[in-house]
Amino acid sequence: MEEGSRGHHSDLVSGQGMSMGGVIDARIKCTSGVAIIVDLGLRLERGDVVDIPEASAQSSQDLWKLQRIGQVSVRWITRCREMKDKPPKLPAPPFIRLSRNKKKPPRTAPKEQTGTSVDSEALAKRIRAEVREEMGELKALLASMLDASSQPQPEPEVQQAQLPEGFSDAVKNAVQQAVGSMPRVAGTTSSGTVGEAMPMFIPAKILNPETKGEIDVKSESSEDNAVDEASQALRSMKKKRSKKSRKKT
Amino acid sequence: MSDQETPKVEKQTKPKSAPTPKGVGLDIGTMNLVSGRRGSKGVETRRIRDAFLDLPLNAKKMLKLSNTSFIERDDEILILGDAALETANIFGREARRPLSDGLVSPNEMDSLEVLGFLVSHVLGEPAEKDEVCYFSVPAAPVDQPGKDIIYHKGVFEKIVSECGYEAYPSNEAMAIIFAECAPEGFSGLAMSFGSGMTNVALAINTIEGLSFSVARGGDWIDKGAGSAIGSTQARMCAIKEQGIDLMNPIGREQEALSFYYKELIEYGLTQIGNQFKTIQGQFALPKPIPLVVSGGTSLAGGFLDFFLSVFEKKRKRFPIEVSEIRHAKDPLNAVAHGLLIQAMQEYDEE
Repeated sequence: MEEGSRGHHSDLVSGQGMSMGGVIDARIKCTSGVAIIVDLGLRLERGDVVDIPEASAQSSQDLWKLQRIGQVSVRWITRCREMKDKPPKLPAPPFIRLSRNKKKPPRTAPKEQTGTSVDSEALAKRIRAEVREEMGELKALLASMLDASSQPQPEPEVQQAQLPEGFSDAVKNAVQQAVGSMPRVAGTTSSGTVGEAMPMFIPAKILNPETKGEIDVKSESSEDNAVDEASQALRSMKKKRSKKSRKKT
Repeated sequence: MSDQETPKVEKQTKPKSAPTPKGVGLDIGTMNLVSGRRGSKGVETRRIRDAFLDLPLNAKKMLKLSNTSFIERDDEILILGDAALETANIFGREARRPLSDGLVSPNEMDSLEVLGFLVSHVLGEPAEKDEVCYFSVPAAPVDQPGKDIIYHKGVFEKIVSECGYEAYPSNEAMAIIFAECAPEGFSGLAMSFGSGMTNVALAINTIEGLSFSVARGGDWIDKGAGSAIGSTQARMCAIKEQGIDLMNPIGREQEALSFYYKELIEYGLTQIGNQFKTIQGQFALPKPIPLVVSGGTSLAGGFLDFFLSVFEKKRKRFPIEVSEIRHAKDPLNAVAHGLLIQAMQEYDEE
C-alpha cells in the first residue's frame, strides 16, 4: 500500500511503495469535534478515520471546506491489487471400473424434488372441505339471524296504569293516519284487504276512484239462445250426475 | 230428507220477478276485453280494446276538437281502447298494451290502474253485491317453462273483486268447450287462437283432461311476417284486420301472413300431440270428439278451410280421433259466453 500527495489540497503522506495499477483512496480523519460531510453523507467524530474512493473525494466540496478549516485531514492512499492464491487442487477421486458383466442400472426418470412437490388433488380436496365447512357455518349463522328477525320482538312491558288516559287511543290514531297516508303494499300487513294467498307484489288497491273519464265500449246483444241452451244442458247434466251419485249412496 | 226439502223452501222464497239470470263472464285477452251478461233481450256483450296511449296535457285541446274520449291522470292524458290505436297512428306512436303474450306485461307494471279502469268499464256495475264473475285465465305456456299464470290470475282476481264482483278464474279454452260443445255433452278439443297466445283444452263431459297454451298467436304471426318481408308488426296487423283470404293470399304481405298462419297451426297441432302423449295412459276417449277453433286470430278469411288443409296433412299422426272440425259461432265472444254459462250455474245451484 502506498500513500502520497494528490493535488493541491491534501496532506501528503509518503507511501511505503508505489505499484502500477494500484487503487487510490482518500483517507479522511476527523481532527477536532464532529465533522459532518453532507455531500458524502458522513458523520465523523474526533479520531474517526474513513477511506473513500478518490473520485468521490475529489468531487466533494464539503470535504475540502472542512479540510481548509482544519477539521479533517485527507490523505491519499494507494492500494495494491491483492492476488489471491489459487484454490489447492483436490486429489482426483479413485477410478472405479464396472465389471463387464454387470448390467447398468435401469434408467429412471429424473425424480422430482420430493421435498417441495405438492399433490394438487389432495390440496384441492382439502380446500373444498374447508370451504364447505365455512359455508355450513355461515348458513347456520344466517338461519339463526333470520329466525331471530322473524320472531316477534318482545315488547317492552309497560303497565297500563302508568300511562295517561287515552294515550293508547291517541297513539293508535296517529299510527293509522301515518300508515294511511303511505302507499300500502299487500301482504305487509296481516289486516290488509288482500288475502294471504295473494302474491305480495300485487298492489293493495288497483282501481283509483279518482280516475274518471269516458271510454267507448262497444256493446252488442244477440238474441241467439245458444248460451241459454248450453246453460240448460249443463244444468241437466249436473242433475243427472247428482241423481246417479244419490243412487249409488 | 231434510236435504231434499231445503231447496224447495229456497225456491219459494226466491223472488219470482227476477228479471234476468245473474252472473258475468269476462274474457281477458291481449287484444280485447270482452264481457258477457244475460240481458233481457239475450246475451249482451261489451268489448273494449286492451290498449291505451299516454299523451302530454297539451294534447287535450286537439282531442276535444276531434271528439276523442280520454281520461286525465296526474300530468298526462290517457286515451283508452280503440281510440288509443287510432290516435297512436296519428301521432306516429305505438299504443301501449297492458298485456303481453296473454299475461300481464312485465314492462307495463305501471298500467295496472289503466287495466283496472278498462275492466271496470267493460264489466259495468254488478247487478248485486258480489255478483259472480268468471274471468278467463290462460293455461301456462308449454314452450316458455319460466312463465306461469299465478301473478296474472292474482292481479285480475283483485281487479274484478274491487269492481264489486266475486271473482272466479277459469281456463280460457275450457270456456269454449262450455260455449260450443253442449251438443256433444261438453266433450271436445278447443283451440283458442288469441293475440298473445294459443290456448288448448281437451274435455270429456265437462271434465278437463288436458289444458295448455303456446306462446304464439296473432302477434307472433304479425311480428314474424313483418320481419320476413321488412315490414312492421302494426302494418301486418292492419292488413290482417282489413281482410285476408288465407287460401288465396295476394301479394307478398298476405303470402307471408299465410305462411305464418300455417306455421302456427302446425305448431299448435304438434304440441297437442306431444302433450296428449303425456296423459294418454290416464285419459280414455270413448268416442271421437269435435275440434273447435276460436279466437280473434281465427277471424281471418278462410281460416277454417286453411286449418282443415293443414290438419289433413297431420291427421294420420294426430293422436286424438276427431269427429269434426268447426269454427265457433262467434269466435270473438265465445270465451265470454262460455264463462257466462259457468257464472250462471253458480246461481242455479242455490
